[in-house]
Amino acid sequence: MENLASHKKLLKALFQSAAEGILVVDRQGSIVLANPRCLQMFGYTHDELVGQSLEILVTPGLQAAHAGFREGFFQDPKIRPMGVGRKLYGRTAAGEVFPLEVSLSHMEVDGARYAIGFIVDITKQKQAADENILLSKIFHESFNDIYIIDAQNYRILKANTGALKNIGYTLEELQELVAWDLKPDQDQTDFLQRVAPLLSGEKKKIIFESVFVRKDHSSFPAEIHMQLFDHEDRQVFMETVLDISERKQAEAALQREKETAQRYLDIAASIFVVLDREGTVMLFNRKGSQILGFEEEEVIGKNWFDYFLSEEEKEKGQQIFKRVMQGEMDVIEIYENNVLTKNREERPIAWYNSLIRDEQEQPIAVLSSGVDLTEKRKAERDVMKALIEGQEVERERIAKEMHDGLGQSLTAMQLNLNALQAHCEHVAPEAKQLFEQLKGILYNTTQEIKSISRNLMPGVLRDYGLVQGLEYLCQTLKDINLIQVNLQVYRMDKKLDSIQSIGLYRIAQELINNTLKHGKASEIHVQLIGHENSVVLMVEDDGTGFDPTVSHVKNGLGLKNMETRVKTLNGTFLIDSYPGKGTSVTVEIPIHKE
Amino acid sequence: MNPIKIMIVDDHQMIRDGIKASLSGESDIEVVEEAANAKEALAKLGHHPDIQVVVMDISLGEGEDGITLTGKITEQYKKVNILTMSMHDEEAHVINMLKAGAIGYMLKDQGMSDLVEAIKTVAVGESYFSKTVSDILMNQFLRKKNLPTSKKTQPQVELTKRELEILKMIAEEFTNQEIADQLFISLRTVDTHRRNLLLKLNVKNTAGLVKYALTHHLIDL
Repeated sequence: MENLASHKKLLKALFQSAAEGILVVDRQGSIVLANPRCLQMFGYTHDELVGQSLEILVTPGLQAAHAGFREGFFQDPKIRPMGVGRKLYGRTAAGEVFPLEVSLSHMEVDGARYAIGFIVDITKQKQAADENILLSKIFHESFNDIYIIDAQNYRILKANTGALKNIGYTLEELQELVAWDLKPDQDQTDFLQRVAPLLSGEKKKIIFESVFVRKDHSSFPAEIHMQLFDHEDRQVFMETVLDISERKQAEAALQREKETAQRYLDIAASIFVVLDREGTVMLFNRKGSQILGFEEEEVIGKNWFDYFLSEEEKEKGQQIFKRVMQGEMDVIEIYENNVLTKNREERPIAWYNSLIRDEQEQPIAVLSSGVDLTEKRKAERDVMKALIEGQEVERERIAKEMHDGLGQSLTAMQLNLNALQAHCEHVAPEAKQLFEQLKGILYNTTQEIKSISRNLMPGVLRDYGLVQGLEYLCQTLKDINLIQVNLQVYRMDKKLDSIQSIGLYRIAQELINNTLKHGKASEIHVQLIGHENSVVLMVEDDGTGFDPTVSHVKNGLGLKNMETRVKTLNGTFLIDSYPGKGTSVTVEIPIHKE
Repeated sequence: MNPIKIMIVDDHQMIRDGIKASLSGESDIEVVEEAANAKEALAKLGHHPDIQVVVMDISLGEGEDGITLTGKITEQYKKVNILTMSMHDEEAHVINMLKAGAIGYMLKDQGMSDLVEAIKTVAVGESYFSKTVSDILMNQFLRKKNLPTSKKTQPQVELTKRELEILKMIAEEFTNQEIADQLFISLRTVDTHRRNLLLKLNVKNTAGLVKYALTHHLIDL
C-alpha cells in the first residue's frame, strides 16, 4: 500500500510539472482536469476552466466540428495524434489563437470514459518553420544567382532556381563542379587568393568582378558578393552573382563616348582650353600641350592669365575676362594674343571663345579654341620680307640706272653744251638767252634725278653701311632744311647685314621725312646705339606729336609700314607720341654676335 | 707754252666724247688718251709718260674702280695729277679718293663750265674742289675736330633733352612707371632710354647714372 501511495504522489507530481499541457475531458465534453501547464497555455485559472466545455479552447469557426470529432473519438477511442494533416490552433482566455499539437488518449475510471489530451504549444516551432520557408523562397526566387559553396573542397553544394535557370546546369551537374569552374578567368589559385580574407576573418564580405560562363559557353560579366557562413557542421560560402552586362555595356558606351570626345580634342588642330570663373584652367588638350610645350597636368589648375600670358597681355586679358564673367559684356568671340610657351617664348594665337552658362544663365566658364598663328605669321613675315627685299633690289636697280645711265647722259649733255658755249658768243641775244635757259633746265633736271636716285638707294649705304648712310642722310637734310638733324652713333661696331642696314636706314629716313612734313619740329635727334645683342634706333623730335592710338593717323604716317618692316627684322617698334609732346620712335632689332 | 696733256678715264663713251667736245676750243689742253677701264688706263699711261692730268671717274664698270686705279697711278707716276670727275657726292667717296692720291674733285652734275679751270689748277699740282665737295670737306674737318684722337676712347657724350630729363628723374628716385607717366611715354621706352644711358655714359648701374647726374649738376644734393 505504501508503494501505491508513493506512486500516487509521483503521478501527481508528474501531472503538476509536465512540460506538456494535460487536459482530461468527460463524455459530455466538459473539462474535468487541466494541469498547470495547460492552464498557463490557455490563460485560465483552474476554477475558471474546470467544468467548462472543451470547445471554449477551440477557435470559434471550428467549435461545432470539434464537438463532432470529440463524439467520434469517444465512439472509437484510440491513442493517436489529433487532427492529422491539419493545422491545429487553440484559443486562449484572451481570445488569442496559437498553433498547437495534441496527442489523444483515453481512459475509463469508475465506468466513466474520459479523453486525455497532451497539448504542446508549437508557436515557436511554427515561427521557425515559417521563417525557413520564407528564406528558402527568397533564396530560390531571388533574381540574383546564388550559389552555396563548400568552404573546404570548394564544391558547389546548392544553387538557387535563378542560378540554375541562368547557368543552364541542373543542380546535380553543378554539384559535380567546383567554384572556379564557372569562371573562365579564374583558376584555383585565383579563387583561393580571393577568398583568403574571408577565411582568415579579415573581411566579412568580398565583392569582385568576374566573368561567368554558362553551360552553353556563353558568358556574362558579373559582380560577385561572397560571404562565409557556418552551416551545420561545416563552413560554406554564399556567392551572390549579379549579372552586370547592362552596366558594363553602359560603362563601355560611356567610355567610348569619352574616348571619342577625347580623341576629337586630341586630334583637333586647335588648342582647346576651358577656364572657370576665376580663369583657372579646367581642360587642356594635347594640341595645346604640343604648342605650348607643357604637359596637361602642368596646365590644369593653373591660372591662365598668371602663367600663360606676358605681363602686358595679362592685365588686359584679365580685365576683359572678369567683365565677361560678371555678365558686364559679351564674350569676344574672336581674339588674338600672344601666349607664353614653357620656354617663355611668345606664340601668337587666334582664339575663338564661347561662354558656358549654368541653368540660371550665369557665366561659369569660357571654352576657347585657339589656332597657332606662328607659322602663318612667319609665312606672312617671309612674304613681307621677300616683298621688301625685292622692292629694295628693284629700287637699287632703278637708282643705279638713273645714276649711271640717265645721270651720265645728262652729264654728257652738259659737257656738250659747254662745248657749244664758245660758239654762243656770236649768236643773237635771244638765242643766247635760250641757250642759258637750256643749261639751267639741264642743271635742275640733273639735280632732281640725283635726288630721286639718292632717295631710292644711297650709294653710300650700299658701299659703306648704315652709319655712313645715316651721316650722309642727315648731312643732306641739314644742307637743305633749316631744321637741326642731330645724329649720334654709339658702339656701332656691330656687323649689320644689308637687309638690316637698309631696313633701319629706311625707317630713319621715313621718320625724319614725317617730322619734316608734319611735325613742326625745331630739332630731330637720331640715335643709333649698339647694345650687346641688339641695335636701337631712336628718332625723337620736339614737334606737335599726335595720338598714336588713332589708327588712320598711324596709317597716314606710314607707321604701319614701318612696323611691318621692323617685324621682318624680328625687331620691336615703339611709338611714343602725345599731342604737344613731340614724338619718339624706338626701333630695336636683335643682332647675332659674331 | 705746251698744252696740258690729259687722259680721260670714264666707262661711258658719251662722257668721254662730251669732255673732249667741251675742251675742243681750248688750245691749252690736249686730250692725248682716253680709257674705259683701269686696265686700259694703265696700259695707255705706260705709252704716254708725258700725261700730266688724268680726269678720273670713280665707277668704272668692270674691273678696278677709280679709287684703286688712282692709288696705282699716283704710286707709279709721281708726276701725274688726278682730277676726279664723278657723280658721287658722298663724303666717303671724296675722302677715299683723296686718300688714294687725287688732288681734285668735281661733280659731274654741277655744270662743266669750270672744267677747264679745274684741269689747269690740278696740272700745276694744286688742289681743286667744286663747291659741294669743299663743303663736304669742311664739314668733315669740323667734325673731326670734335672727335678724340684715339679711336678707343668713348666719343664725346651728348645727351638729348629727353635723356637728360630721364636721367634727372632716375637720380631723383622716380620709378620707370612714374617716369613713363610723367613723360607720356611707354614703360618699354623708358627702359630703352635707361639702357641707352648706361651704355652712353659707360656706367654699370643706376648708381652710376646717379653719380653722373650729380657730378654734372643735373640734380642738387
